[in-house]
Amino acid sequence: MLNLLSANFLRLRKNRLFWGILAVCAIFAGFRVYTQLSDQIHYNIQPTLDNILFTYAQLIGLTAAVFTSLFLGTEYSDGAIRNKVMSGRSRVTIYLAGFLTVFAASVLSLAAYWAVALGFGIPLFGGLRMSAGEALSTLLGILLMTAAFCALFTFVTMNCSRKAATAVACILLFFAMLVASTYVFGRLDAPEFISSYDFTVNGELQPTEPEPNPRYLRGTERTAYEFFRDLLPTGQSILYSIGMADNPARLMVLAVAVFAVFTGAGAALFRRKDLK
Amino acid sequence: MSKLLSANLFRLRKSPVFWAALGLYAAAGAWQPLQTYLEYERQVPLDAIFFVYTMLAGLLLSIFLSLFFGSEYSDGAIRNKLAAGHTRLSIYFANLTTAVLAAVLFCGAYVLCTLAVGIPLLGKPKAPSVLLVSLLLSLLMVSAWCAIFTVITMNFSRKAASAVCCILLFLAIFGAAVTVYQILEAPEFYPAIELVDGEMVTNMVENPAYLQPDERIPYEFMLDLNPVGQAVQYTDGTVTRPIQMALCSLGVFAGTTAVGAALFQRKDLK
Repeated sequence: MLNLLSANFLRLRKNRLFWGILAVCAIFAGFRVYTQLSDQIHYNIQPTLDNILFTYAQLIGLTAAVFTSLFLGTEYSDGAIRNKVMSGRSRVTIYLAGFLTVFAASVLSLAAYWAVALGFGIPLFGGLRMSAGEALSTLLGILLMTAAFCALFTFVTMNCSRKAATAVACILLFFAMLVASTYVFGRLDAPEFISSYDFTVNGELQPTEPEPNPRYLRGTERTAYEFFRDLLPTGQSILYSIGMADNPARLMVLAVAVFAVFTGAGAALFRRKDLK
Repeated sequence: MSKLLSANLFRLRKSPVFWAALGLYAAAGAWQPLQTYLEYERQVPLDAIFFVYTMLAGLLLSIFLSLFFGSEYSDGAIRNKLAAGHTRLSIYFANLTTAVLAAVLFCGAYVLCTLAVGIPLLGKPKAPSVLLVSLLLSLLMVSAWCAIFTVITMNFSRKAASAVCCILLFLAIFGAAVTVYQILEAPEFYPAIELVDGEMVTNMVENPAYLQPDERIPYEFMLDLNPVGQAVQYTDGTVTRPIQMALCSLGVFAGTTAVGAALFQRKDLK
């Protein structure tokens, strides 16, 4: 396994897409710092480091989808997987080495974002407002969420030998999950009561009496939606990025579950795959 | 060029990706009025949901065109066409024409299914002439998408990288359109609640983010230039600048085709 990892990391170091992703993350962090300063100037909103530090969580799934499919997909097209199997490596080892490599690449992309966010954010906005414990818990949660994303995309990439189809499938999978998460958030955010505005005889706007909202989720239905929101890695990414991960332990457990299920299933399928 | 077109159309007919995309778009066209009827019965007219396909066209074409034409590099077809004596320009234009034809077929399938399912459920369109004008404009917009993605698929020899670039480009264009649209849609006034003499009173306050008429012109142009920006207007039924939209689509088509063909002329085909 160490030899495989060593070979993968050597490839990673020479991979232009990897360095491109790191550059994009750094630029995105710079853009977030800029938007915070712009909001302060135009709208007098007090900027904080907390607002920008975890924003990248929303994009990490997309970068993982692109990178995993292209980086690991090349191993099929170049015949590297076949060579590794012929040189005596077990399929499970090859699979896990691939997963660990793309996970490391995603963590490094997160580090690139933080390097710029902290480097500019601390002098401009001061330190974090949240406690150290909360920050560490969020960081751990994001890392586990990243592992879940990488496990999902490794599952697809290692079991489909067509690189282009894999790339399309991974990106579409990410967006399907994002759309599902956005829908779930929308349903959960529906207020319990709704009121509208009406003009009085004096021509002033007055709110009407609140009425129960038929779209408000209650009881078992609400619990199910909340579970689905927390299960999807994209749902977790939204919660972390907006600082609303109120139940970090549950999110971490679910992320580990997604990672375990897709890694186990992916490795099992890969063991049986006809590598032609 | 007619031989190249003929070969492309033959490939298209036998392409599982084409038929899958056609089936998917047709199914979406049938589903949209059905879903609307189930949720709102006949309260929503057919016109309101007719142009949903324009929002999806870019994504579908980014995937289909990159997978369909990306094979030409990996299979060596482009090199074979050149060896057979065809010029690079004719290869480029044959592929672009095939892309536009496929896009028109996708949109046609969607529209036909929407009409077949929508008219019985939601009734006939309320403004058929407006619908027809927007339909023709949307076909120009879809052609602009084809031109944009043909630049990438013809100049990237790696199919996977081409597919990823096309999808990410679609997302970037989508994001830009949504941003411009939100800026244009900022309301002139918004309700603000104040405490006056111990009572909560709602007043309408001027929105500083609201664009004045002369400030709107460049944003409207950016919206019309953007294929997704046009799609939003078709979907909303707010097509107020049809000539500008048509010219923008034609401009995008011509500009990207010129750039793409020029790059392809110089490309090292190894």
